[in-house]
Amino acid sequence: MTAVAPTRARGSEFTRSSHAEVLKLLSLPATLLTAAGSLLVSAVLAVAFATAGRQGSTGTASALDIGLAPIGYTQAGFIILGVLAATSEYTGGQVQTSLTVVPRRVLLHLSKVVALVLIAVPTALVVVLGGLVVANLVLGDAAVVPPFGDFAVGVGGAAAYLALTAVLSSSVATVIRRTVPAVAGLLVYYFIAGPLLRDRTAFAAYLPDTAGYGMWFHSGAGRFGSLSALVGTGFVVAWVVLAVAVAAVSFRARDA
Amino acid sequence: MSAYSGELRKLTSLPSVWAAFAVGIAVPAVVGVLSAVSTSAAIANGTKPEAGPDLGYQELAFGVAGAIILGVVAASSEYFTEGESAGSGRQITTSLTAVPSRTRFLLAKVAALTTAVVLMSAIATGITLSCVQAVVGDHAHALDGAAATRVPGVVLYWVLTALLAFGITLLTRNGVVPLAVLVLNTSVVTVTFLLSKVTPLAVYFPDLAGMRMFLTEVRVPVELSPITGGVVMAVWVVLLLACGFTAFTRRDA
Repeated sequence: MTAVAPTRARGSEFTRSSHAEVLKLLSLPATLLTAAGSLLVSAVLAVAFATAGRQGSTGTASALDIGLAPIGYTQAGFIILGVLAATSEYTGGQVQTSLTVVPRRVLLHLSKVVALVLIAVPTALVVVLGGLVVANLVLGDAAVVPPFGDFAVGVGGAAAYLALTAVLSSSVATVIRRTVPAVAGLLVYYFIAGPLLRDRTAFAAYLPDTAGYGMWFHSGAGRFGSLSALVGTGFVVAWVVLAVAVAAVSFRARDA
Repeated sequence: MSAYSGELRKLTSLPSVWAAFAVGIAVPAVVGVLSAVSTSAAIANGTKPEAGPDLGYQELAFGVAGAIILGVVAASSEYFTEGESAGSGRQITTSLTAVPSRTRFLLAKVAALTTAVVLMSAIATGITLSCVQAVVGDHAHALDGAAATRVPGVVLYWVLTALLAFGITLLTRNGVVPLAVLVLNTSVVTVTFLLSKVTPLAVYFPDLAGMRMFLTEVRVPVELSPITGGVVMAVWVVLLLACGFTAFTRRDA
C-alpha cells in the first residue's frame, strides 16, 4: 500500500481564497441578474439622454458626456452587487462554512474585496461602453465626438468609480449584514440625500458620491463640487479604504 | 380588528420601520431648511423676488423614500428567511397560521401600513412646512390658503406610493428590486422625468402624475390637473395591488 501524498493546491493562501470568492460570486444568480439589469437600465437611459440631447435640452452635444450620463443611475446596480456580495454570506449561515475553510478573518475579508473588484471592473466596462454605444446610435449625426484620449479617460474613470462604489457598498453591508436595510440605506444616500446635499452645501464636495463625479463627468466641473478630477478620485479612494478598514475590523471583532 | 392591531404591532417592532420614519421625517425637514436658508439669502440680496410656490413641497416629494421603505418592508419582512440556527423559517407561515384568511390578512396589512404612512407623512409635512415658514418668514407660500388642498395631497401621495411599493413587493417577495426601482425614481431627476423626454406618455407614470396633487411646477410635456393626477396614480396603485393580491392568494406561501 502506498501512502497518498497530501495534495497541495498551488498559490498562496490569499490567491486561493480570492479564487474561491470569485467562484462564489459568479455562482450567485443575483450577480448575473444585477449585471444584466444594469446594462439594460444603462441602454434605456442612454436612449432617453440622447433623445434629450438631440432636442438640445442637455446643454451639451458631446457623445461622451451623454453616453456617460446614465452612470448616475446605473451605479444602483453596483451598489446592489456590492451589498449582495457581502450579505449572501449571512443568509442561511454560509459565513460559518466560509470561516471554517478560511479561518483568518482579515484575509477572508480582503479576498472578498479582491473578488468583487475582479468581477465589478469588467461588468462596469460593459455597462459603460453599452451606454456609450447606444447613445451614439441614437445621436447619429448630432454627436460631437471627443478625442480618443478624453474618451479613454472617461470610460476608465467611470468604470473605476462604479467598481469603487461596489466595494464601498459591500463594506457597509458587511457591517449591517442584512440585505434590505443595507440596500435601502445606500440607495437613499446615493439617490436622495447625496444629490440634495450636493446642490445645497459646500462640504458635500468631499462625500463619496459627489467627489466621484469628478472621475467620470468632466464637463460637470464646478456644477458637481469644487474638486478637480484627481482630488475627487483621491477622496473616493480614501472613503473606500476607510470603509474597507472599518468593515475588516468589524468582521474580525464580531461573532460571525 | 385583532388582525389589524397585530399587523400594527408587527410594524412597530421592526427596526427598519423606525429607520423609514427617520428617513421620511428627517430628509424633507433638513433639506427644506437648507433650501429655505439659501432662498431667504437670495431674497435678501435681491436675486429672487420671493420664494417659489413649491418651496417645502418639493422636498416632501423626496421624503417619500420613507414611505417606499415602509411599503417594501411591510411585505418583504414576512419572507425574510431566518438563519439555520432559527430553523430557516419565514414569518409568513406563522402569520397565515394566526390569520388563515389571506384576504383578511392582506386587508389588515394594508390598513396597518396606511395608518403608519398617514402618521409619518403628517408629521413630516408639519415639521417641514413649519421649518420652511420659520426660515423664510413672510415670503413663504408654504402655509398659505392653497395648503388646505396641497397638504392632504402630500399625505395621499405618500400613502399611494407606500401601497405601490407594497403591491410590487408582494409580487417579487424580495425587497431589493422594488427598493431599487422606486428609490432610483425618487432621485432629484427621476427616471420617469427622463423618459418624458422620449415620450409624452411618461407623464402618466404614477409618480409624475401623483406629484401634481401638491406640486405646481413640474416641467413635463403634458399638464395634468391635481385631481386627474391623483386619479391616474390611484388607478396604478389599484391595478398593482390587485396583481399583488391575486398572486398572494393563489401562490403557495
